[in-house]
Amino acid sequence: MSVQNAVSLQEQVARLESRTRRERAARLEAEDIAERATRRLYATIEELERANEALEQSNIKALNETLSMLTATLDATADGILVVDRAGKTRTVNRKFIELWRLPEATLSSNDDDEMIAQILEQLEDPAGFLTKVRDLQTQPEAESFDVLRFKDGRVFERYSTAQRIDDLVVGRVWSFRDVTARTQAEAQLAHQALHDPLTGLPNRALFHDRLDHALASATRREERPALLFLDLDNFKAINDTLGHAAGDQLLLEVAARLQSCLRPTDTVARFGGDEFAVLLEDSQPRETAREVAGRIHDTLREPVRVMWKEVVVEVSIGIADAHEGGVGAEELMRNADVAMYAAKARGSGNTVVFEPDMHAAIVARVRLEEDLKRALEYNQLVVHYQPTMSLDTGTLTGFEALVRWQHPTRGLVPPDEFIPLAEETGVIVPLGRWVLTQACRQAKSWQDRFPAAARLSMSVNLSPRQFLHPQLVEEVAAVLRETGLEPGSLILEITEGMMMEDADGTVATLHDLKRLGVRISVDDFGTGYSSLGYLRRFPVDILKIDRSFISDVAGGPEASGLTHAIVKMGNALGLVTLAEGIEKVEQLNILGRLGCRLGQGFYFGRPLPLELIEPLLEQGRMDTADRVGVNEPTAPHVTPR
Amino acid sequence: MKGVIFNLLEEVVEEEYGPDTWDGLLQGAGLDGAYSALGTYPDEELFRLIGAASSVTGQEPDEIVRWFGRQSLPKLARRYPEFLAPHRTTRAFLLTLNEVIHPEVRKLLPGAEVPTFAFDASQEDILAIDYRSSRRLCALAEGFIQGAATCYGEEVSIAQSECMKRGDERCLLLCCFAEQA
Repeated sequence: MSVQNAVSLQEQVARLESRTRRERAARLEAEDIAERATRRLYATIEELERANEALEQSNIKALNETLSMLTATLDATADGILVVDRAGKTRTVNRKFIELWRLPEATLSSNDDDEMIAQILEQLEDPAGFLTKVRDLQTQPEAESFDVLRFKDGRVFERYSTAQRIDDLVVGRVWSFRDVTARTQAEAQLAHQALHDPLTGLPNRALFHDRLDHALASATRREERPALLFLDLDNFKAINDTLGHAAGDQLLLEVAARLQSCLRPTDTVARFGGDEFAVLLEDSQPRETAREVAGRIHDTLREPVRVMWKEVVVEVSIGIADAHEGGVGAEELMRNADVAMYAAKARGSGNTVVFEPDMHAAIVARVRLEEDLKRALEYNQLVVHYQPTMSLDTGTLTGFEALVRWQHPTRGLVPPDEFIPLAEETGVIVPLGRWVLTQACRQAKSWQDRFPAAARLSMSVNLSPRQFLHPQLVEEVAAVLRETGLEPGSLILEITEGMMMEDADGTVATLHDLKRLGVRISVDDFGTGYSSLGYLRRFPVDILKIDRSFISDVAGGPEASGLTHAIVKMGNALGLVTLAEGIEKVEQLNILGRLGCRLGQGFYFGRPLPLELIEPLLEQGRMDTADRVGVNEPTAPHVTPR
Repeated sequence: MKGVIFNLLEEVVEEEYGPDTWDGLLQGAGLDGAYSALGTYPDEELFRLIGAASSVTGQEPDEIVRWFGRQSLPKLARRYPEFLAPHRTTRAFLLTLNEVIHPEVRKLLPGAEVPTFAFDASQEDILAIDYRSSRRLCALAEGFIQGAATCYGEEVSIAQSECMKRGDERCLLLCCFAEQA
């Protein structure tokens, strides 16, 4: 081996060593890189695991939150909720479900679905129907269904059922139940209210009309035809005014009950408001049956009704209309019954009238008269006539009775018996009566002042029932006396026997109040009512006016005059002045004088006359029996109206 | 610069010229030459090695770099066959550089800085490649392209109409491919 070779060998070794060092260095660096990478990787993995765990925790927390929110929501909802699986087994229920179905804790904890279903079914009105529905839905897992469940105890639930799905897959069924009892009842109540009278609970006009429509529609198929009765209480307003609305309501309730007692269950009785009632009946002989029913109603209502502390007698006016001729509509039939009812009213209290076609005209005339009457005061169409009252002892004038007359612009003088009841009914009587009272008092005062013969004359003024019951009557009389300056002792207020008996206690009180003003009280038309003389003791009255029906008989002999005699004697015994009405003949005058009757009134002395005809006579001082007022005028047989 | 490039250079140099030549280059460049594929080393070391080779051979550094690219790409192709396999032509392969190859390179070599290319493939016969990099290794790109063409059995003619080394803003490589005769 040469030196050169040895050097070269040494170089070779050095190069190899250098390459080995290079390789080792590269390897160490690679290992170092690998280690760093491994560490970094490990750290990253750890970090990822922690992040993952945190994420899981937060997911679980979020799930728990969602679950608790759902549970709270389910428990807070007004619906009872039941979730079942595809097999129909209960998966969950909310608290409301347990409450609504009133399920005992034991049933739920036992997980016994059969027991739960049994307990559910036994509450239902139609358990079989519900069970069928449940079974049907079992075979139609996708179906949605809704219905209403009725309970034996009256409760009502709405039931809704829908499929429970997870990702479009039907996994069970959700049933929800809502208690709609209160709402259902409210709805039913509203429906009832819309069709019934709130006071009596009877059908109202709308429902009555509806039933009439049905009756008319089915009348063509059946033998039976409808008939209507329209009823209006005759004296209800007076009762309401004096005893108050509570008493009025009480009376209406009693009337409603009595009406129902007169009818068959299939008949309809309705209240149209106020004191108006209506009856619908269907019969093969509707008109005859309606008449019979009307008769029963009159009889039943006439039995006194105890209202508050009073006994009152209810009279009713009844109009009947039937669908006798074919093709009569409900509207027309109701209008006819109404017209007939007005016709019954026009005949006076307690009548029944069956509709006749010509009644329309009469009703129209009456309505027109009513309108005219309301304007009569305003247009100065009313006048007061005066009829003298005479002393039977001395044959001298003692005073006048004021009587109102209506000078109608086209019809001429309307007789009082035509318009006074109308005024009474419509309430016009109150202002009208006050006007008459004022006129009469003013006139009396004027005559007393101007004519010596009339210095002590009295003035009688009639009070109608409505006026008498008016709460301000006493104040008004006092005001008129003040206003006109008439001395109270000169004023005589006349009431009828019937008015006294209507409300005896109230009458006594009012009469005492009037007496305290100093006015005198006279009982008009005495003897026609049902009061006894003994009964009169209770009332502070001064004068008894014996009805003309007795006077006309007086001249017919001792038997005929017996009653008049008794009245006069009894009146005298009670310290009352008796006045005979309707004296037309001198024979009557003589007999009454012998019987002890003190005063008289009638055509024999003088008919009611306008003041223009009275004044000249007063001026001449000619008011005595020798110079009878108006005797020279033609005196058609005419009943003096009140 | 990732160590893998140095490893490749060592490999092609040793294959062609033997390990003594590589030792010589390291010695000439004054480097200890311990390069690990995943390690990262100053770019300057590569340029010093290229410079050393240039002074030994008398060749232009760019020519050496092109040679390095041409020689090393088939080795890369063997190591990572999944990059070339899906394509039939160099052009198709090159067009996946930004979206497929370089993202994969970044995964394999964490911290690798790879250039972004812009392609103009509007012309059928010419693919224009826009290269911008502070390393200004457009020659390496050329070499890689030539190496890839070899893999696909194609010939490629590359002309640089613009080059950063000549003061241009970018390097524009115009490539024209043809099947190998």
